[in-house]
Amino acid sequence: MANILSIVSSKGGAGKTTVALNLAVALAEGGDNTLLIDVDPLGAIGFSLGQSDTEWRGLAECMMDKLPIDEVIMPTKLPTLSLLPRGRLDPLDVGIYEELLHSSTTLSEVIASVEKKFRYIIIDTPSGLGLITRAALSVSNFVLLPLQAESLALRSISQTLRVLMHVKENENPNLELLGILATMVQLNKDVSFNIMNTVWGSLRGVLETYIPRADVFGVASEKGLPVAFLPGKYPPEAVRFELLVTEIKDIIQGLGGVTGETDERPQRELI
Amino acid sequence: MKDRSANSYDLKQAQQILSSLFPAAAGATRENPIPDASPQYLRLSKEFPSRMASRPPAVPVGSPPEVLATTSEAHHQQFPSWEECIAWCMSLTRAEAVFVADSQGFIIASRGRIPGHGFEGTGAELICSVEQLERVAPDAGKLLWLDLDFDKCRVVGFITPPVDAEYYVVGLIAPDSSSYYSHKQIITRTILENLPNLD
Repeated sequence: MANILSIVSSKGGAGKTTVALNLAVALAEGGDNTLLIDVDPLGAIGFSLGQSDTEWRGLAECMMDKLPIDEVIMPTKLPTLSLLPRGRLDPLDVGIYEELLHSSTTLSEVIASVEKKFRYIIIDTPSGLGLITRAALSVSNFVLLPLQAESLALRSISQTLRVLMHVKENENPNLELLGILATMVQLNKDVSFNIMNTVWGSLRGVLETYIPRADVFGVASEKGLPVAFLPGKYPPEAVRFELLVTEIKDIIQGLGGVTGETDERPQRELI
Repeated sequence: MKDRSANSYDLKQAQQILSSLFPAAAGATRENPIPDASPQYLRLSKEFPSRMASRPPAVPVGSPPEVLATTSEAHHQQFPSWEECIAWCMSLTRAEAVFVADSQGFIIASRGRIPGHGFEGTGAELICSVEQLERVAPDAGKLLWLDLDFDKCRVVGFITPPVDAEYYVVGLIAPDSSSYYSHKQIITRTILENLPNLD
């Protein structure tokens, strides 16, 4: 059974899509069959990979019974990574899309039909705590909260936590918060340093791994690639996502999830 | 003057929730859940529970005025007759045709393009299938909606709860899928509210 992980934040610009994409790539490159689902009406995953707004069919077509799920899940050049894009959703119909995704069983049916094929299903959600985010949380086992290292994000984190708590208490008791992932961290800047100081000192559940603000993300976005796929020297930011994979797998195992990893090792001799 | 520095963030609620979500020690039980609603939050769902139940669905920009008017007033519709009711259903769902059949299969009202099987044939088959379909899950109660997705078109039926063993089926032929889904709750509620007045 898959580990279904939603990336959620009330605030825009926290790096949800960047985290979702690069985390999915890191999981897949580690050998885990991974599906990345884009439920964001913006279709940010497609944009991050340099695609046009109407390039890919996806979840929207599946929701309207235009195409079966098998025909909208896209393989990638990374054999262990598949994508379920948003689909060719007309921006004029975003309101209807939100209501349908929330009120229908589409998302849970999609998950049910594919979860045996994947170890990890990553769901990229839109900013905010509206119907789509709630739909994603209702089908997820785990949630990851990117937190931008800046004041507005810290002031608003309670909103997201409040919704998570409500969903867990009333709608999806299986939902577990993996942790808070600090993003766009710049420890050499006073404001960012102060925020991180407060976050590390005051909040439980902040992940050890954090994602620094770095030009490489802009470069990757321009080229329509995950950071690990950029040419040249392997970016340290890509290594961060590998560390993130290790950390969240450890947490998932601790929460009783199945990661396929084993803690058992045979004794080895050094000399 | 209020200190707006980083150290003045009010993280109390965040800390409480996180303490509850991350018990300090393995095996420790979670702390009591956060009391419902910080007092400073306005709960719209409590202020307007009926609004939450009959929330008008979103209408795409550029919809013709009659659709806008229909949708925004949808939860206040009153119909003196089945003809007006099915006309409203038709405009809401953009169906090719709508009809009402009673439990004997007789067509009481119809509107739109006549289906190949005729309204009578389609209505009669729907009525026959209702009783059979309820046997699929007898513990699930009365069948309320049936949704038949054929390769060429969709046929949807709303079955009213029986009164003195009499019920009606409102059939929609080829409704627009997204319109039908997003208006389903409103249609259900509106027909049930108007049922005592409909002949």
